[in-house]
Amino acid sequence: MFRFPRQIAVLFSLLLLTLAGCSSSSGSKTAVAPSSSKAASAASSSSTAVAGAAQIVIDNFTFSPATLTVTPGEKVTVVNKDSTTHTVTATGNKAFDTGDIASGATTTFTAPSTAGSYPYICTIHQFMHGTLTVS
Amino acid sequence: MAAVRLILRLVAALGLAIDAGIHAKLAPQYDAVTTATISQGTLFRIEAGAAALAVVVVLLWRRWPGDLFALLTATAGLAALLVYRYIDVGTLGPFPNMYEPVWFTDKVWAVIGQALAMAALLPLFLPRHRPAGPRVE
Repeated sequence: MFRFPRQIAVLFSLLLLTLAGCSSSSGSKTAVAPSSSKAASAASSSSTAVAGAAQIVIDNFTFSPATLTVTPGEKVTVVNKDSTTHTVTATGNKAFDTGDIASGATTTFTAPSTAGSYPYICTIHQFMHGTLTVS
Repeated sequence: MAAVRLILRLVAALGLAIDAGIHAKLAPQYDAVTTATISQGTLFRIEAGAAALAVVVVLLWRRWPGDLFALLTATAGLAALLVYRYIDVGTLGPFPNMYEPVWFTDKVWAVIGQALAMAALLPLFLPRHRPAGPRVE
């Protein structure tokens, strides 16, 4: 009769658990604020928007910066560093909507041409909030 | 027959290890889902820990209570994943709203691991056929 050697079982268990541990260690990421992001402030009207410089980074289910100030019609880049899909969707009349942004993907959208404050969410994870200020 | 059971245990352990690894990997990110007492990240760590323990009991202990524990771990994990993929349950007691209507690579791998474990563990509960021994008159 075929027997299952306990030593082999122990080794196999350790191997599998090591593999599981290795895959989990790659998930502990450190959130890094994007260097090109323009941290918004209410008094940042003097910020000179450079085309393509406005960026929102999604990491650990958080939009960074939480508030971004851009000029009307400016291109905004969105980088998704999470393992799951996200969206950047303006609430209300959906002045902008990136659609699904897959894990690791980057997309862009055009800021509204009308000045104002545009709250946005991820439609998949609706507890995620951010604000785009057009001024 | 013993060789088949060995292969089933190895496959089940592999599936459970995938389940454990994916949940442990995703847990830090899902700590952000804290709409209730327990965060989704904590639930992922519980699933990862249970699946890792199940790997050990399936391979080393090799008794039906351990196999049942492993089967329940995989089944509960798969059921929760599918429910929250398709149904907006909302917050449920201490559990957060884990509704996430998308598929992505890690989620698919978790399903594969859990389904693999279930498929391999279920046959272990079938009654074993023992060869009839010599009859003693």
